[in-house]
Amino acid sequence: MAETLAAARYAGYVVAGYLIAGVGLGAYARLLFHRARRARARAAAMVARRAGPQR
Amino acid sequence: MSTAERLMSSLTARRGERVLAWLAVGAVGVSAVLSLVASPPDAEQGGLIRLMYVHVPAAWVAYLAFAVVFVASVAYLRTRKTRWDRVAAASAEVGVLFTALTIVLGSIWAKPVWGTWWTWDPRLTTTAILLVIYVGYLAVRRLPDNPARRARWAAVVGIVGFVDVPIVHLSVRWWRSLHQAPARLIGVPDVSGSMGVALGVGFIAFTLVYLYFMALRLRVGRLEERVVAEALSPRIGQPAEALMEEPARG
Repeated sequence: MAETLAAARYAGYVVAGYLIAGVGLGAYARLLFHRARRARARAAAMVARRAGPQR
Repeated sequence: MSTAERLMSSLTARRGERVLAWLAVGAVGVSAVLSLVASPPDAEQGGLIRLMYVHVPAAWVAYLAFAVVFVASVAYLRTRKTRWDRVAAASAEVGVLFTALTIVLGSIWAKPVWGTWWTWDPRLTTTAILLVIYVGYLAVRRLPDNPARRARWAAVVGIVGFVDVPIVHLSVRWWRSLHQAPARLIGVPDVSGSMGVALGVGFIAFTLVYLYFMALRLRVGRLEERVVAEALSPRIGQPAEALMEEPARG
């Protein structure tokens, strides 16, 4: 019983480690996609504003 | 164009980026199966050894990323081509992510094995210093200054900061340490059989993730530079494309 509990507790550390690695890497990839989308939208907005009617 | 620049161009093309993404996802999947299912438990640490398959490859990628920062910084100072500055910036950012991941995963491993989340052990302390150095490098890159001067200072920090990488690696040999020693200087610990295979695949998977992040981060860097160039273009009276191609001097 004690051995099973210890194994379960140790498995918790392993699961936590893999989850943190997966979430960390996934979050960074998402952040990069978000930055790319935002930069593309801002550049397109600037070009559109310049191409629009001049006052 | 040099071989390194040609390789960089093909990897960062959209097609290269997509191929890298699929390769990285596939390798991470194989690595997870080998690490969590196929690899046997360790005689002393039991299932906790499975943390090695993510902790050690993450540390390897951190070393690799900072080595790329070093090489790109030297190349920038020699050629003053902004593409090398972009590579150094991208690699430093990815390196900081993997260094932080190494520390967190090591801490999770240390708690059940050493009985503490953190101790001021030489390996842990020098790794924490490494993280601080490259967070500082990223801070230097955000200083409001002339872009060429900022790139030059960042390159100097990128070169000097790399001194800590061999210190981190050799710290377990030079000083008394709780951390296990790497068996070989190239960083591959002495593990054999299915454990060795799982660790080897982990190294490949994390390296592919690094390459994919680099391709993605370089594209983001170019897009963000484009925004700045579009904003400056009407004031300077030059097209944005010309501003982006301007060699960094000054």
